[in-house]
Amino acid sequence: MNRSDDDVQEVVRRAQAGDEAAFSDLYERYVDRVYRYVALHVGPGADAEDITEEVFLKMLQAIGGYRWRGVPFSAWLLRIAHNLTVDFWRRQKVRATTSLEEVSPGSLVSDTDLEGSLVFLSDNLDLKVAMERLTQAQRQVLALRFGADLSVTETAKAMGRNEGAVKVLQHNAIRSLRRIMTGRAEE
Amino acid sequence: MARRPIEDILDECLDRLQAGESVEACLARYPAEAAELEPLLRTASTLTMARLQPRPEFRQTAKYRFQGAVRLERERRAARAGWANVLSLPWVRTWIGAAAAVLVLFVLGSGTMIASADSLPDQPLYPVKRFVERAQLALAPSETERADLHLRLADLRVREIAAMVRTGKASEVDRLQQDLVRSIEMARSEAGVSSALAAAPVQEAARGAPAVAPQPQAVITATPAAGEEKGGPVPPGRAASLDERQRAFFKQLQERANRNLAILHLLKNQASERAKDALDRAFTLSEAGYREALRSTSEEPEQTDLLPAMTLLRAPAVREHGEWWVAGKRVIVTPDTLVNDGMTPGKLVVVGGLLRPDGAVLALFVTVMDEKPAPSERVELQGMVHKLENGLWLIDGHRVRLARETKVEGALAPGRWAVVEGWLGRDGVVIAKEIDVEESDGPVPFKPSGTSDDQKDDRRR
Repeated sequence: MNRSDDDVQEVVRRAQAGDEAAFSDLYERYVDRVYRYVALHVGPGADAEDITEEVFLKMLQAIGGYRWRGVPFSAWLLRIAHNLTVDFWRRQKVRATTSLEEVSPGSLVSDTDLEGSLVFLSDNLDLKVAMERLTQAQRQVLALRFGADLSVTETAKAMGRNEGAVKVLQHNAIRSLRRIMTGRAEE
Repeated sequence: MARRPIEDILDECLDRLQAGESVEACLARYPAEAAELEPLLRTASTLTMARLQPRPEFRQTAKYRFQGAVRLERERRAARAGWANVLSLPWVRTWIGAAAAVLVLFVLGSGTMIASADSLPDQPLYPVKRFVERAQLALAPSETERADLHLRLADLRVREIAAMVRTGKASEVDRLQQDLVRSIEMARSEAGVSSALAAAPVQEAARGAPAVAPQPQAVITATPAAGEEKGGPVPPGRAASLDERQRAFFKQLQERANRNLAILHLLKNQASERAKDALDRAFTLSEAGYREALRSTSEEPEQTDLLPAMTLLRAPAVREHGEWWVAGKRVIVTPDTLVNDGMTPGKLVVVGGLLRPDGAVLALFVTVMDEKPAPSERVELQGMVHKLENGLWLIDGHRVRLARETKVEGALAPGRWAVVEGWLGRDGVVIAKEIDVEESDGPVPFKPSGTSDDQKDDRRR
């Protein structure tokens, strides 16, 4: 556990004891990361905001049961976010595990227009659509790494996998995302 | 030497990209893998470029709500811990109910309680008032009555906030706004409508927590909607009564929300900077609380409009034929109007109120000012010409007097639209300097400016 972890653990301990300021501290530390994580799953906007808010309310209810045991608080919090996004998709009745083979060849952008796709995604216009076509695990790994800014080690703990498996999953997820964006089957 | 797996190289490059290194620099490190790496890194960079950030307004509002939930949770836990053991004994439950009833009857009947009823947070009897409130809540026989009581307590808190704003006690305003928000949350919870703090049903709440923690209990349980209760459909009679109760709750909630939010909004004009912050928090949180409750009980939530047309008038009060007039507007003062002091004709007042279709103002609060009114104030107003009465023209509810020097463009007649420029006299009558009468039949877009403080049609959505 490094110094930063120690610091977080101390804040968490105070929150568990009912310290209001500690809860505010946790909110400030994690709200952006939680939102980005959720937004990469469900798309930016009202749904992502609702889920983000719910994550913190669930955290409030469950924090008494959190124990360090090698799982960083951020990973624990993002597990709540993950469970809520899964619930979201379940409610939306959207297939959360569309396999790559099922992805239609219809492209979101032409394969010659990668620059356009950058603008497309950076403008968040249809990030949701692109991410929707990944498997749930692929979405999760990208959201943890790029939304929540977790390291591979932290991501592995959050997902309950080993680091090697996370790297492979990450590689596959990015490759799949590229295929979806360019609309062609590579290899 | 074995070739390093592409997954490892990709991961290293991703870390470098996130640290600010360019794609080209990463590719230069691994020329043999560059062809395979490049498309992956460029795709990954789309994710880092997305820079998804929550909206600042959402971030702040959600924080307020979260802090409110933290306070609520802390109080509930304290209450559970303190009373759970004692209350579990049946004889204690019986006796405590009887003892509380006796105590409250005693307090309700005492002079202290009567004296405390109007006390304010900075007065000695205020704790008695709050004790009585808690006792009333404890003795309320049903959820519906507790919900109604919580709503009335929210009204009381707004009344106290208004008093504290007038006396410049910002710290009290901040404390009261927390109590206000709590009352709204409790009303929603008691009424059985789904709470913002527990947007999902209980089962959903339990699923939201991660497996590493014990399954949490939902803090606020949502009463199932009609027809969704466990054990099959609700009998028609029961469903009807639930609907009826919800409709009544919705109507009451909407009226109170309109009134309280308008007061909080308009009070900002009189508040110190510190009190303004507290009022902002009170407004944001109350609006969110009321809106959630209304959304839960309304069949057409998109039609929920929480801020009606309102206005703020600042001028000497005029008493005429048993009616109050301020800045040329008829002001209706009801027993619910928050008045800080006795209204006296000629005294400068600030009136915050709701605009009625007939042009009159339903006063939510009246602040009688200590300062002397200015002799006259330049005003510009526009509106429909109603009639000529006792030598005064009634234009959009304002009484307008034409002087010998008044320039009138067009024919002044009932039904016409007129733009008036002039001075506001001590008696609230506008002395017209210039009147421009529109020749068209229909009114021009309406943006009145009856006084400098006028905020008509100031709607927040």
